[in-house]
Order: sequence, then C-alpha cells, then structure tokens
Amino acid sequence: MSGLLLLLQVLNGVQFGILLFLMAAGLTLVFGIMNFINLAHGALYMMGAYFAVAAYGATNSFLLAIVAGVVGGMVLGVLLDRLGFYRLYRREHLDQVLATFGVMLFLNELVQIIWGPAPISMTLPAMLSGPVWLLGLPYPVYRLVVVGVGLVVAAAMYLLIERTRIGMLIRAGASNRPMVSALGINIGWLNTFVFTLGIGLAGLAGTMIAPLRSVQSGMGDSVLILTLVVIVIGGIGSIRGAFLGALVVGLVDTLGRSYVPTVLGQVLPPGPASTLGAAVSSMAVYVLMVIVLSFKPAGLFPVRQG
Amino acid sequence: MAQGIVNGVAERGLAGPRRARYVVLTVVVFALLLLVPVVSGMTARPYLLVLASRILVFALAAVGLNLALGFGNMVSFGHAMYIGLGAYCVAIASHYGYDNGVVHLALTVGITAIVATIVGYIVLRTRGIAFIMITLALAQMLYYLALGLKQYGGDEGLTVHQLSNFGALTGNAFALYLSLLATLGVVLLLLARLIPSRFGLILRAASIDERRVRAVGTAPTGYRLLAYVFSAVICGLAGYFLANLTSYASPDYLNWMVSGDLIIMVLLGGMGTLVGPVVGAAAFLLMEIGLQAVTSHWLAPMGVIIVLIVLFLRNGIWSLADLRGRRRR
Amino acid sequence: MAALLSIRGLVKYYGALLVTDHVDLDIESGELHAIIGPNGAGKTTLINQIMGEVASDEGSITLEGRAIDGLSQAQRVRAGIGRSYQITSVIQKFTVLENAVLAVQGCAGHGYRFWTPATKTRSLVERATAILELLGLQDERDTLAMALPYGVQRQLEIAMALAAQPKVLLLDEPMAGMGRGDTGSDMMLRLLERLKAHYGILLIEHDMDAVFALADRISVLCYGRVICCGDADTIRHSPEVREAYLGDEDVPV
Repeated sequence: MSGLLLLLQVLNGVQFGILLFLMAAGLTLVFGIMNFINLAHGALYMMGAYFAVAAYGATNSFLLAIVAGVVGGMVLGVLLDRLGFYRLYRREHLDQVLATFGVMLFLNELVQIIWGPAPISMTLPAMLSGPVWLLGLPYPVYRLVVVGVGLVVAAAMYLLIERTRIGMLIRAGASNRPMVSALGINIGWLNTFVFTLGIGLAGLAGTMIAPLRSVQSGMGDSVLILTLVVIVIGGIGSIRGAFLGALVVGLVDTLGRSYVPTVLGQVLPPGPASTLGAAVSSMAVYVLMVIVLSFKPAGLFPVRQG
Repeated sequence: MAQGIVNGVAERGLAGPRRARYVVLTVVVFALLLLVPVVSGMTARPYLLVLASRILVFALAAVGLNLALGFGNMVSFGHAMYIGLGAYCVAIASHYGYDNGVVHLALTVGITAIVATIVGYIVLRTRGIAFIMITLALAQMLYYLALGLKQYGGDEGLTVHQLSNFGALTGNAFALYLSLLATLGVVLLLLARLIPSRFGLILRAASIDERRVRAVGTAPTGYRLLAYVFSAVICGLAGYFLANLTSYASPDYLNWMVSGDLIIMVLLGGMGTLVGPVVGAAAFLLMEIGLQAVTSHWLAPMGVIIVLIVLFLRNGIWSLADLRGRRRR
Repeated sequence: MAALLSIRGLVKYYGALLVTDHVDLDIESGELHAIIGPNGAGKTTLINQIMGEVASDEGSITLEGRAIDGLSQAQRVRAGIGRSYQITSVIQKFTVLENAVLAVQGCAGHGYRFWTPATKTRSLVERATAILELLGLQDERDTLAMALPYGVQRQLEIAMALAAQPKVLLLDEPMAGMGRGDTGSDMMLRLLERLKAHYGILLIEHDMDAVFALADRISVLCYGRVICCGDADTIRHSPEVREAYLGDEDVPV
C-alpha cells in the first residue's frame, strides 16, 4: 500500500464527498425548512447532468453546459413545484416519499424517451482535461476543480446561513417553522427560495459529474441513497452535519472499495476474499451508519427541535 | 369479531349493515381468487395461474407490510429485503441439497425473524423521516450483500434447482396457488384476531401517540418490535412462495424499488384495513401489466399514476366501499 | 407524616436557559397542592420531569420514600403516579371504552395477549367500566373520543390517569379550554373535590377561583423557581407574588 496511492485515493474520496455534500446540502436544507423530503432529488441531479451534456453537445461551451445544468435543474424544480409538489408540503412524510418516488420513476423513464437508453457523455475542454502532478503522480485537474467548486459552495453556504438575514430565517425556520410564519415572515417565498437553491445544488452536482461518469437513466438512484445515509449520519437539517457526513461517507466508500478487498486478501484465501471483498466494501458505508446511530440516534449534529 | 376489525378502524356502530358489507366484499374477493385456477385450467391458459400466483405473493407481502405500516405506523422502506431473504433461504438451502419443504419453511421463518429482530431493534430507536431513510439504507445493505456474494449467484441470482419438496405436490402450479391462497387466508384470520387484541390495541395506540401509551404505564417499544418481526416473517413467507413460483432468487427481489412498490400497494388498497392490501396488490400489478402492454416506456405513466394515487386516492380502494366516505387518517 | 411525593433540588437546563431552578416540593396524601405562576414559568416542564418524560439535570424525586429517579416514564406510572395533559391526549380514533381499557391494562401485567379482543377481556372491561362510571362516562362507552365534546374528553383524560390506580395525580390545567357549566369547569371543579380525598394531587391551573377553592397549599413558580409556598392567605398577601404577576390579568386579589 503505497503512501502516494493512498493520497490519490484520499483525494478521490474527498472529491466524492464534495459531490455528496452538494447533494446532501440541498436535500437537508429543503427538509429542514420545508419539512419536505424529496426522493426525486437524485433524478434532478441526473437531469442536471443530461442538460449539461445536451448543452455542451449543442454549443461546445463548457460554461454554457454548467449554466444549462444548474438553471435547467432549477427550472424543472420550479415546474414540479407548481404542478403538484406544493400540495405535498403539508402532507405526511410518507405521502411525500411516495409521490416523489413516482416522480423519480417518471424522470428516469423520460430521459430514456428523449435521449434513448444508451448512456451519453461529454468530454472536457482541453484546459481542464490535463493532469496535475502531485508528488510525481498525475492526478486529473478536473477532479481538483470539482473539489474547489465544492469548497467554494460550502463556504458560500456557510456565509449565507450564518451571516445573512436570509440565513437567519432559514435557521429559525429549521427549528421552529410555525413561529417564523407567525412572525409575519413570508414563509412561502422563503420556501421557494430554499427549494430552488436545493435543486440548484443537485443540478450543479450532476453537471460537475457529467464529464467524469457516463450519464444515464437511473444514475441518481445510488447517489440518492448515499445522500440519505449522509444526512442520517450528519443529522437531518444540519448543513454542517451534511458537510462532515459527506466527507466521511465519501472517504469510507472510496477507501473501502480500494482497500477492503486487499485487506481481506491478506487474511482469507483468494476466492472468498474477492467475493466478500466486493460485498463488504459496498456495505461499509451502511455499517458506518449503524455504528453512528448506535451512539447518536439523531446523527452527529441534530437540529430538529419541533 | 370485535368492532370494526375488518376495516381496522374502530367505528361506532360497525355492527350490522356496514360490517356485513366488508365481510361480503372479502368473501367475494376470495371467491374470485378461487375461481382463477378453474378458469385457467378450463381455458388452458396456464399464464393466468402464474399471474394470479404472483399477485398473491405480493398480496401476502403487502398484508405483512400493512401490519407494520398501516397498524403500527412504522414506515418501512425496506420490507422487500424480507421477501428477498425468504427467497434466498429456499434457494440457498436447495443449493446445498436440502429440498424438504418443511425445512425450507422453517428456515424462512427462523432467519427472517432473527434478522427482523436485529434490524427492528436498530431502526426502532429512530422516528419519522429518519426511520424511513434508515430502513431504506439497511435494505440496500442487504441488496449489495446479495449482489456481491458470487457463490450464491451474485447479480445473476440463484436458480432454485430443487423446489420445496412436498411429495407429489412439488412443482404443481395448482398446489402452489392454493397453498398461497390458504396461507393468505390464514394470515388474514390471524390478523383479524391480533388487531383487536390487547397487543393490537397497544400497537394501534402507540402508532398514534407513543407518549399516551407510556402515560398509562406501558413501554411501547417491545410491542412495536414484535409487530415489526411478525410483519417481516409474513413477507418472508411471500418470498418463500416467490422462489417456488419463479424457481429463482435474485438480488432484484431486495431492490428498494420493490419496497416502494409494496408501500404503494398497501396505500392503494387501504392502509390500516385488513383486506385492502390484497386489493391494492392486485390493482397495482394488473395496472403494471396493462401499461406494459401499451408501451415499453411504461414506467413513465406508472410514475405519474403513483403521484395521482398519493394526491387523490390516499385512503385506498377498499375505503371506497364505505359509501358514506371516511375521513382521511 | 412523610410526604407522599417529595421533590428536592430539581434542576433543568435547556441549553443555557435554566428552566427549573432548584425546586423543592412536597405532596401529602389527601392534599391538593396547586402550582401557579405566569406563563413560561416552567410548570409543565416540572411535571414532565416528575413523570420522567424529560430528564432532570439535578435533583431527586421520591415516591412513598422510594427514589424513582432511575425509572422510565412507564415505570413511574406503574409505581403510582398518574398524569393528565394540558392538551388532551386521549386517542381520538378509539372509543371511550377502548381508551379506558388501554389505560387499565397498562398497570395490569404485560400486554402480550394476541387472541382475545381487548374490549371483551372481562378483567379489563370490568375495571374500565368502573372508572367510567366513577366519572359518569359509562353511557358514552362506545362513542369515538373525537365525537365527544371537549369537556367530556377532558373527563376521559382524567379517567385514564385514574385507571392506573395511582397514589399521586399530576393534573396539568384540567380546566383549560373549558367554559362554565355542567360540561365545563364547574363539573371539573366538583370532580376535583371528589378526587381530593383519595389521592395526593399536584394541580397546575390558571383559573384562580378554582385554585383558591380547592388548594390546601399553593406554590408559586416564577422563572422556574418557587418564590412562595403556603396556604391561600399567605399567597394572597405575598409581595413577591404580586410582583411576579404584575401586568398579568390574573392577579390574585
């Protein structure tokens, strides 16, 4: 186990964690302020990727691709809100889960209708596709860009939540929604803002990932579940928890996949090692979740008071 | 039978005409189900029997889930994992050469009960949306385990070479269907006693207001855990039958989408009613088949229909029988 | 005579906020001890702590000489403390009888009985009916709780607290939301008079007429602290109490 390879895997883990943070922040923000759980969040991440690839294919401009991904996702989110989501905000979580589940199925199929079942992809512009040399090993510069963008977003969110008036309203709404409403704050407007922001983050995540992975129907499903794990570990409603949880999950998942089979290979004969290795490494994150929950059932940074 | 047990919700004056209506409807449903093998045999359409068997498998699973979800307000988004467990019990046992039907059954019930006790103990420490997410995540964990265990088929699944051996009846489609129907009937009868019992009273009260239950001197967690385990075992039985029906056990049986489908079946039929989930499972699967016949992109209209069901048919089909119109839960 | 329920030095912090401030309190058997105080004084929190619904940071609670601090809420109920809630918490979807049976079975062994309907279990139903008769609710036994007038629901709430055969009753604003009259606060007043003889009662109330009519002792809670404790006359003439209520319409005269 070379130290350099470890460093590269750690970087990969951080990059994956940043991606999960973008997803988790959006999801937990919407849940915190609107008490609305959106299982279609993963599908909106997928839509962001599709919009980005489509825009890049049409215009060959990376910048426009990003805009298309983020804004396209947001527009779709607002559309969904107007079409029926708004009825769900007052409903039980079960109803929200099921209805957004249905929307997810619909969107997964819609992209196949529009773009066909085969995965599509986009290439990076030359400027971003080279390697960066870290201690003698090449590392894709784009992945560092993703990490950079994620950190900028994290910082911006921190400033927004902790230092602005809107952020204060968001924090207040997360711990006592009826009170904020009763104080005369237009909670509807705040909700729309937060919802759009949350969707935008998912769209951004999808856009960022598009050059790295193949874009296909259902790509959001596994990311969604990991995002839920992140939120559960970090604490539902907490951005800080989302950040920490995302990094931990990203690292555990990435390092787990790289090293668990090797570790098992030292201890067990090759046959069982490889079978168990694959299984155990994908389970690592869930085991982690169970462990965290045994000590802190409400997650690392619980928020919800009401 | 105690008040309102068929409808599951205590209602004043559910004696006489209204309860009779539900009993009659239940009898009608079972009569229709009994007719299927007859029709299938007479018209030489074996696929009818297979389809109906599949419906019964999911009806059984939905009835099981309903105990936890409808009567216990435990929104488990991971109950498909118990179907999968049951199926794999059959498949793995026969993989190692054990094909005795009773052994398969015992394994299914035993292993499902043990796993459910462990999982239930973990998840019942949480509430609300965390409960939903954690049940989903844990089911995913088992899904990945099934996917990863190559010696049991991995992502290709495991073929059941030797079906549960019940002597001459082994592999007989009619026998399978009738035993499915009988199991469903027995489970429903047992639930009909369980729901109004003291255990059921505590469970239902705890599903509405846990604090109130504690305030009368009862600690609710043990009751909810036991209800969760019962519901898991029923789903395990459904998995046992599924493996015998398809001769196959697959990680797909544990997929979280199946869990989602199960919840929708319960909702569509009528949460917190006894027979509702049976109707819901039938309606859902028939709808699925209907849509598949129309377009290969059937998941799109399916998704839309699910949204519409949640928005407009929240009380389920079974409650439509109550012509005076019940208020929402 | 040793107190039935004894509280010493009870403390509760919510973050940096001291909600219960070293409260000492006694309830004797056959006594009605009222707690009054401005809104937000911590009265309900105090009851929650005694019941074990909220964990205390410091202090001790003794019932009949036995420390109950380590017991869960359900265990404390079985030990002999009954409670009614400020906001009615009867199960709306259950009938009156079902609610009563639920309450009775809580202290009658374990509930793992799966076959006989609860409302047909002789031992439970007999005791439930007896309690309902005590409160005049037996005619409504098959009515859904949600169909009952609010005052009757409050009666059911008290019936459920009594079903556990407690020694101490903690009543959190039983008259809240009730108008006057036979299904209103007059009825509740008469009920409390009857109950006084058999139990030790801790009563939180804002209705001052009721408090002064019923209470043997009154403690005044302000910002989590007991600022005065004594009989009705002591409270009426206490300068600290006047100051605490300054600006409040319910100034005891």
